This record gives sequence, C-alpha cells and structure tokens, in this order.
Amino acid sequence: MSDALSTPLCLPGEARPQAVEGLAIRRLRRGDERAFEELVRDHQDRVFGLILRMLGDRGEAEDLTQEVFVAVHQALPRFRGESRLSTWIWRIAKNHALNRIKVLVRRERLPDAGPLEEAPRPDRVYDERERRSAVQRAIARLEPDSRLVVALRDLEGLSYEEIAEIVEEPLGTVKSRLHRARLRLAEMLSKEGVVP
Amino acid sequence: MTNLTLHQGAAAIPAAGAHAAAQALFSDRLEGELSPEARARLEAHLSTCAPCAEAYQRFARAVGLVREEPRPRAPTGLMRRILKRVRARRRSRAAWFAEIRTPAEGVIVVILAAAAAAVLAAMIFGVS
Repeated sequence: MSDALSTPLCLPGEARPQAVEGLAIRRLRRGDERAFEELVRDHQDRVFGLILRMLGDRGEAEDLTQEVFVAVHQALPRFRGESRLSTWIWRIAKNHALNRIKVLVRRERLPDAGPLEEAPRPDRVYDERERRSAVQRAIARLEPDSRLVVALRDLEGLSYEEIAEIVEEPLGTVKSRLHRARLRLAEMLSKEGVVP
Repeated sequence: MTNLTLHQGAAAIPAAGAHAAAQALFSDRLEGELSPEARARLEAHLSTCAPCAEAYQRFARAVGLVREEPRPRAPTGLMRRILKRVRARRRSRAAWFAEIRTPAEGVIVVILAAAAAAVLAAMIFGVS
C-alpha cells in the first residue's frame, strides 16, 4: 500500500512526529488529491472558526475559507517545510483575513459589533446565551491584530511560539499584545456587567 | 515617592505604579509563567490591595469566558465546495496548457508574455 492512505494529517496545533509530517507534505506536494482532501477535512473547522472570529460574518467567512484553501493548494508546491504545515496554513488564513478586513473597512461593510451598554447594571443576571453574545461582541470590538492573538491563544489554544510564527512578530510583541487585549476584554465585560 | 510602598505587606512592589506593575503580571500569573519570586511579590500585593485583587478576578473570569466560547464548525458542504473550486482551477490551468501543442507555440507564448511585461514596465516606470 502506498503512503497515501496510511499517513493521517492532523489538526492545527497538534504535534506529530516530523517523519509523519514529512510524508504528508510529500503526498501533498506531488498533488495527491486524497491528501489534500484530508488536509481540508482536518483544518476546515479551525480555519473557518478563525476567519469567522476575525470577520464576524458567516457568509464572508465561508467565502474566504474557500479562498484560503485554494491559496493553500496553489502554494503547496512552494511549501519548503520550514514551519509546521498547520502553522503555514494558519499564516495563510491570517493574511487573507487581515486583507479582507482592510477591504471591508474601505467599503464600510464590516459588521458592527454594536455599542457597549451605556448604563452598566452590575446586578443584571446574564443567561448563558446573553453572556456568550456579550463575549462575542467584546471580541469583535478588539482591533484586528488583537482579535487575532486572542483567537489563536484563548480560543485555539496555540503556544506563544506558534502564534509568533503565524503573526510574524517577536514573541514579546505577541505576549504584550495578548495581555493588552485581555485587559481590554475584561474592561468591556466588566462595563457590561458580565464579569462584575 | 517611588521608594514608598503602597502597602506595608507589599514591599517589593513600589507605590508609584504599583497597580500597573501588578496588572502587567496578570497574564503571566494566569498562564503560570511567573517565577516564584515574581509570583510571591504579586501575591503580596494582591493580598493587601482589594482593587487589584478584584481586577485580577475580573481579568481571569473574562479570559475564562473567552476560553469557554464554543468553536464554530465549518458549514455543511464547505469541503465539497472547496474541492470543487480547486478542481475547477486545476482543470482551467490544464486546459490552458493543453492549448500549447508544439514547442514553437510554447516559445510564442513566452515571447508574448515577455512583451506584455515589458509594455507594462514601460507604462509603470515611464520608460520611453
């Protein structure tokens, strides 16, 4: 049996032996269609999730996720394996998302996160759905660069090192950006009475 | 002022900027990345500074809520649509290259592409 059926691809953020990753990359670079299907299946939820967090619109996110995977397919022959495959895919997704945000901002088509509650009510009791909605609004109000690191660290659980590779910034910049974003989230959620 | 401490029990964190200094360590505390010394200094401050202790609780709760967010799943059929786009693109490229039947046609394509690039460069850089 060829290695085409015996080399499972794995989830972004999930470590796997270098040899297994090497086999998967070879299958992909020689145009193995089944390997590409596996790659899409393994990564589509997380790529879609990241883009949805970044854009806040399901239609846009679905469209852009398709573009990301087309770009991945197109760029595979040039992938040199200098980073993990998943890191490389995250980076392509990040670039597409940030570029799309610029376009949407220019066209004034970015979804509005909505205003903060003007008169916070510390005694207000949030049900689960309202709390989630408030958290999502708070994330959406962050600057795109901040939203990105929050999504990669606190939603996807990636390591600081991998995030630094994805956003192409020094580790210290990633840590301080994430910290400032978390402080801002705490401030917004506190004002809304979600974290009294 | 900088030599004073905010609280007697928090001697390692100077009064000036004590709250900011404590706040700067919140993420590292949450991630368990503080050295034992830094952690002890922060704990000393938090144990005597109610506003900072409350701020840390809010901070940790906010991060906890973000981490509890459910992960969105890709819409049904997304994979099929992606693969369809990839195959369509592959077919259109294959069809384009299939039009080139002889080496001479290939050379013509390269010459035309080079000429187009030269015209474009002249337009952009103003070469006369």
